[in-house]
Amino acid sequence: MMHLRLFLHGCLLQYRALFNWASPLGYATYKVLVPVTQVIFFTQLGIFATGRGNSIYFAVGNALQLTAINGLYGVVMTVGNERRYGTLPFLLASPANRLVTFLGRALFHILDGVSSVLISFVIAAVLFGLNFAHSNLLLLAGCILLISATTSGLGLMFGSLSLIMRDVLTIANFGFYLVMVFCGIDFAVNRLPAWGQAISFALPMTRGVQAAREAVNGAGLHDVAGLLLGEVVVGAVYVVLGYALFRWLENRARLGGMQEAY
Amino acid sequence: MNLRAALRAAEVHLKLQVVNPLAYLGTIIFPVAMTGIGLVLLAPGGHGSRITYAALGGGLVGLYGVAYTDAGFSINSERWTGTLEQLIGCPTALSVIVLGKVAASLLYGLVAVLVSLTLAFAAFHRLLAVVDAVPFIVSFLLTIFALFALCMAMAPVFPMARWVFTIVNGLELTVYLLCGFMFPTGQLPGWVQAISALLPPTWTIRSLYAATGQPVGHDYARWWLIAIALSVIYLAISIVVFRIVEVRSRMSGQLALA
Repeated sequence: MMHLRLFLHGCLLQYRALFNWASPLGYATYKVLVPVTQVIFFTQLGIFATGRGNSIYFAVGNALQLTAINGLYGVVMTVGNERRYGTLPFLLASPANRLVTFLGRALFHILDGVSSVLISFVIAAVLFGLNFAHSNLLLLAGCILLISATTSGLGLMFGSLSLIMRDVLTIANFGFYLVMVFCGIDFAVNRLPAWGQAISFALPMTRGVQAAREAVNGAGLHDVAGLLLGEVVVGAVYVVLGYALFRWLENRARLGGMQEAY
Repeated sequence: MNLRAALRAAEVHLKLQVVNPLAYLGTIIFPVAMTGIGLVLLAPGGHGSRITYAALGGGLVGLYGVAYTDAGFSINSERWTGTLEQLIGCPTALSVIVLGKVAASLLYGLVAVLVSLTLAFAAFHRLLAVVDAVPFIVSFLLTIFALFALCMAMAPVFPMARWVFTIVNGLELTVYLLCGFMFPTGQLPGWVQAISALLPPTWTIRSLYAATGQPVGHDYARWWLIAIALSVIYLAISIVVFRIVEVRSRMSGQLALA
């Protein structure tokens, strides 16, 4: 029980440390302003391109894509900032369990990502008439949580890369644009060329967004089980790759005393 | 002396951006992503003429993104590296230094427009259909001026506090939305259009799309005059707010703590 409490406290501190410079007003504004503007901008672009009848497609896709703000920006910076602010050597010298430390960086971002989607759904309901009357809400909630978790998996992998790359923000931004273009957010994946579809299915979120769209339309678990399983596998692969990279870099840095040399 | 200081600020800023990966992200990756999404959405379905909103709009988004992010981020970077106090304390006005930075950003941000047009041509075999060359050129130059005025007006708020960047960063997409970078503002609700009308790029971007044959009217002279008038007002506001921020920072002595 004490270990669990320590773990949760550590996770919370890591999350708060990322926003230590933000005032509560700044954080709250960012938490609302970004979802509002992203959903409205891309939905209006979608309306211009395909007509008002398709607005829900764009609103739902972009609401779900917002998990990447936490899953990518948040997680990558939580890992990468250790080096930027000079705390990486202390972290690597500590006897803390590495896997727990590694996974703990994502926990609160997963939950925060879910809250961003919920805020966006409210906006989409008010402005574009998103209606959940026929939706499978339990399944939809599961899809959102899963997407947030798998995107954080990608974030953990990019975060590990930030241990050997100086510019954390560049890595996070690159990942954000990658999922925005390739994961079926504003158009179906089959509109992409073959190479684009290959990238798409290698990324988290692609299958999860598709499953969530079907859950909004009332699909049952058996209808989207394959998609969800695929999403879990892809997310797990990124977590394992990220953790392996983290450990490899840690060992390499220890041997050469090069924790901050890159 | 002020001109020399602004030019030096621009030169140093350009040199810093050459080795900054984030600058390449803003001028290449971001416009490619936005143009790509726009082209996939607008290319099919017989919306041939609307392609301009993706081919040109993606580049304009990149151009503004670079200039606006630099205006704010460069001040935040000065804060992180401990040089903001020196900037405020030196005899040259902060507005002159930021002017140099924003002008340099707009200069290399033009790469985003080229990248966007190249992508449209290379990947989607689409060319920008310039119907009226002279209005297009005038509108494009005025768009750069309008974006400059908008960036200068927003820049003074960044030194006020560290968290301001978080809020203003969230406003980036709002500007794309309100100014009609990738779709006409006419499809927005009336009250939103009223806000759009207060932003100088709204008028120049409208004239830019009109010059490429989009059905948004041809009232160039009126649009350009409104854009110039608004830009001048924004620049005047910018000078006043810069002065207030400088005086306040010197009086409180708490710039590093803000």
